[in-house]
Amino acid sequence: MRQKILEISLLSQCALADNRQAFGRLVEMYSPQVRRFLLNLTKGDAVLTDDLSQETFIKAYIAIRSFKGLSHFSTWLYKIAYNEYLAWLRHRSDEPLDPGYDAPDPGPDDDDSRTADVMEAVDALAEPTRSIIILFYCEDRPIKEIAQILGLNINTVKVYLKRGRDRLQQKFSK
Amino acid sequence: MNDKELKTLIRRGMRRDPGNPFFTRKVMNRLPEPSAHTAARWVFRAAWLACGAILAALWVNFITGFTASPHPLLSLILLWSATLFVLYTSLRRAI
Repeated sequence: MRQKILEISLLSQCALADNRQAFGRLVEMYSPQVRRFLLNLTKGDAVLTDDLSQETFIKAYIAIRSFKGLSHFSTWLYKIAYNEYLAWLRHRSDEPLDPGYDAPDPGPDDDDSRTADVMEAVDALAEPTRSIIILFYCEDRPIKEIAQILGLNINTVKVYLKRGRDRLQQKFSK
Repeated sequence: MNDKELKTLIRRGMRRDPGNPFFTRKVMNRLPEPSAHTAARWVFRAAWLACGAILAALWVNFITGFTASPHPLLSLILLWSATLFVLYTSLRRAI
């Protein structure tokens, strides 16, 4: 509750008075979440994550007056971050947009190798299934928020989530 | 494997952000210049509209016979100068 009041206070200071210090505090509050989300989306590329995270916050600052408060501020940031990632994917010429599902088989059935393989299996999922799995399992976002972030229908998100979950469960149940 | 086990596995395997102590500073340095204060902008717009209305009223008065200066030609030159100045600055702001 206290965090929410602080967030509202900082947001209003940014929107009404262009207070940069307040925006700096918002960056400090939300950058770990946004960076972790982008780090998993970019398959661990730290430099790209840094660039996309910076762009995310700069776009958020420019558009902060358009934030109506209909969703959580973090959801709005995730949406900007996801759009930044999609824009980067579209401009990238060396790899196709949709990599498809081609995960390697898991190795010996012990916990460490399964842990190592699980992100490889997640990375091999096609978009938007991969992003949905990351948001649902890594970021703990509810389905309604995932739908808002990705700009999809709630039922579509549920279908993609089930599809991704089934594939991962099949892979690691062997 | 159930959903809980899958969640545990994914959360254990997900990438951890090592963090960047300079991240906030980098973002702050890249922010665009602050725009004019919203309230100040509205005051400016209101003043601009008031000036336009006064100018229009002066034109009407001038055409119907009233002159602000004892010399009608001087009043006409003043009104034209003010009108051109307002139009020029409005166009510049619009473009």
